[in-house]
Amino acid sequence: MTTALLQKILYAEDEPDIQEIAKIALEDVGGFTVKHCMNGKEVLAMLRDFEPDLFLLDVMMPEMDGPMVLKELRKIPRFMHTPVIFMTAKIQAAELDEYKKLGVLDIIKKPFDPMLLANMLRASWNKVK
Amino acid sequence: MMESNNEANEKLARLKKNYHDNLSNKIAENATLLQRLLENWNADDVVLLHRKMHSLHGSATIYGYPEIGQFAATVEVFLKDLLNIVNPSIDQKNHLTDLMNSLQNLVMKAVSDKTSFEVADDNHQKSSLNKIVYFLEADKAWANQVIVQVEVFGYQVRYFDNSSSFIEAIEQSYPVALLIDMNLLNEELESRLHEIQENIHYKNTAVFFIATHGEFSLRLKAVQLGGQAFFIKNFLIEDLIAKLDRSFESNSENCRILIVDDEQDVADYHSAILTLANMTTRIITDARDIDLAMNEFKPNLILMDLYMPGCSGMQLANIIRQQSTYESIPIMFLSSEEDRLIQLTAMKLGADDFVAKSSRPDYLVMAIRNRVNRYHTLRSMMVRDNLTGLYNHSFIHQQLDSQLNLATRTNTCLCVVMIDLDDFKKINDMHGHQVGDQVLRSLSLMMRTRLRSSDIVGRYGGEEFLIILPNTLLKSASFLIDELRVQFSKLVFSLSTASFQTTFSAGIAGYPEYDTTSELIQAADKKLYQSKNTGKNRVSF
Repeated sequence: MTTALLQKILYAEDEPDIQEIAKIALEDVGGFTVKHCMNGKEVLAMLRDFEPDLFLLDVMMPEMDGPMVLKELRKIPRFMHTPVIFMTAKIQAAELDEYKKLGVLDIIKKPFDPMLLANMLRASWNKVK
Repeated sequence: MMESNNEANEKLARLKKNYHDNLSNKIAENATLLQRLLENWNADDVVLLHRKMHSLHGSATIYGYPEIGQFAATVEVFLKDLLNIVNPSIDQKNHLTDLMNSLQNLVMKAVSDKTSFEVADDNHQKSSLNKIVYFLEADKAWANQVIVQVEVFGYQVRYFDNSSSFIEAIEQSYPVALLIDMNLLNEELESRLHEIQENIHYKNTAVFFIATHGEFSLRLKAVQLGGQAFFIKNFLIEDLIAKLDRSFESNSENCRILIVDDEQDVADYHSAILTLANMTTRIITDARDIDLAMNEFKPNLILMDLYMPGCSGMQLANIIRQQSTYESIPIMFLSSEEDRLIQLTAMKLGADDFVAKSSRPDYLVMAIRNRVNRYHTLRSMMVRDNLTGLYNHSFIHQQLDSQLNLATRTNTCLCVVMIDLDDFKKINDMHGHQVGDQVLRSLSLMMRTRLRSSDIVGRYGGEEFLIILPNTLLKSASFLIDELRVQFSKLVFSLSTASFQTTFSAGIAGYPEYDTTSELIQAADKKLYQSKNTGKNRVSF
C-alpha cells in the first residue's frame, strides 16, 4: 500500500558532489523531505527512525551496493512493498533485466537533470499509485 | 514554483562554480595517489583510485564536463581489470600513467580555459533542460536503434511501450517533443492529444507521428491530432533531428527580447511579463547602448518605446535597419499612440507592429511569440543553406565581420576554422551523390550539436565549412576542433551494400594575430592546406 502523495525519500549516494546536486533537486525543486545516506549500511541503520515513501539508491556504492540494499529491504516486512528506484550511469540491457527481476520500480540514468529529477520520481511514483 | 526554481537555479550555479574551482585539487590528489601506487603497488590504493575514477565519472558528467566524465569512465574500466592483479606488468602500469596524464590534461584545460565553465554550464542547461523527447513505440528493438542515434545529437529520450504510461508521463512535464507511433493510438490518448493543443503549457511541445504507411486517412488524423511532422518507417534519422532542432530552436525559451525604454519601471514591468512566459529579456534605457546590446544579446525581437528623449523610437529603428545584419529583425513599438497616421509612418520606417501600452499581458506575449516565429521561418530561408541547414556563404561572411568588430571593440580573441572533408570526391564517385549529401548533413548536424551555443557554423562551399569561435584562444579552439575530428572519424555510414568511415582536415587562425576578415580566412585556409599536405585527418593552427 502506498499513500497518494510522495513526500519522504531516503536517498543513498556515496559521491558528495552528486549528493549536493540531488539535495537541491529533491528538496528545493521537488519539495520532498529527504534523508541522505552515504552507503547501503547507513540506509538500513536509518530505517529505525525514518519511514520513507520511496528509496532512491545509487547502484554502485562501496560495501553495500543498491541491489544488495534492495534485497535486504524486501526481507523487512515494513518495507517489503516500498518502491525502490535505482540511479546508475551504466545501463546495460542485461543489468537492467536483472534489476527489474529484483523488483525495482524504475531506473534513472545518470547524469540526471536536477530540474527534472523530482518530476521523474513523481512520474514513477504514479505508476504504483 | 517559479521563484523556488530560480532559487534552486542559483544554488545549482554556485555548486557548479565550486565544483569547477575544486577540480584541480581533485586531480592533484589523484596524481599523488598514482605516484604512491607506482612506487608500491597495493590493493588498497588501486581500490581507492578506482573509486575516485568512478566518482569523477559520475560527478563530472552531471556538473557539465561530459568529456572529463567519459574519460574517467575509460580509466575506471581499465582499473577494474587491475583490481584483481597483484603485480601488473610494466605495460599496464605505463598505460595507466598515460591515461591519468591525459585525464589531467583534460581537467587542466577545463580549469584554465576561462570560458569553459560558462560554456559547459550553458551547454548543460541547453541540452538537458529542454531537449527531452518522449517516445511511444511498440517495437522495442527498433525504438532502441532510434534512441541511440537521437541521443548522439544531444536529445534525451524517455521511452514508453504503452500508451497508458505515456499519458501519465505527459501529464507530469512538457518535453520538447512527443514522438508517437500511430499504431499505439487509442481513444484516451487521442483525447489527451486534443487537450494538449489547447493547453498553454504544451505551446512549446511539438507532436510528431510515426506510421508504417502514408495513407491519406492516417496523415489527416495526424494533422487533426496536432501533428507537426509525419514520418514513415524507416525514415532517415537526420530528418527527425532536423524537425526536433527546429522545434527546439523556436521554443519560447529561445525568445530573446531586447526592451528599449527610457523608463526603467516600464521596462521592468514588460520584462517581468515576458520572463513569466519563459522568454529571455534584456533592458536598455539609453538608446546609445543599442549596438553593444544587439551584438552581445543577439535578440530575436526588439520591443521599443515610441517616445524617448534624445532619439525617438522611429529614429532608432532606422539606425538598426541600416545595418544589413539586422535588416530583418522584428521591431515592435509600445505606445499610447492611437493615431493611425503616426503608426503608419513608423511602419514605413521599419516598425513591424504596434502594441498599446495598455494591452493585456497575454496579448503582448502572443503578439511577440507570433512575430518571433515568423521571423525564425523567414530568416532561416534567407540565411541558411538548403542541404545542411547551416548558415550560407554570404551570411557567415557577414557574421565574421560583425564578430570581428565585436572582438576588436571588447578586446577579446576569436578564432576562425576552415574544415574540408577528406577525399569527398571519392565518396561521391563510389557511393553516389545522395550518400555524399548524407555525409555533409551528418557533419553539419554534429557541428551544430557538439559545438558550443556561441559558436557560429556555416557551409562555405561544396564540402568546405567555416566556423567562428568567439572569445576563444587558439589553443582551446584546436582542442575543440580536434575533439570534433575524432568524433566524426568514428561515425559509421551504413549503406545496404557497404559501410564506411570518413574524416576531415581543419585549419585554424586567430584574432588578434590576424586582424581583418580576409586575412583570417586566408590564414585559416593556408593552415587547412597544411593539414591536407601532411596526411589529412588533422587540425593545424
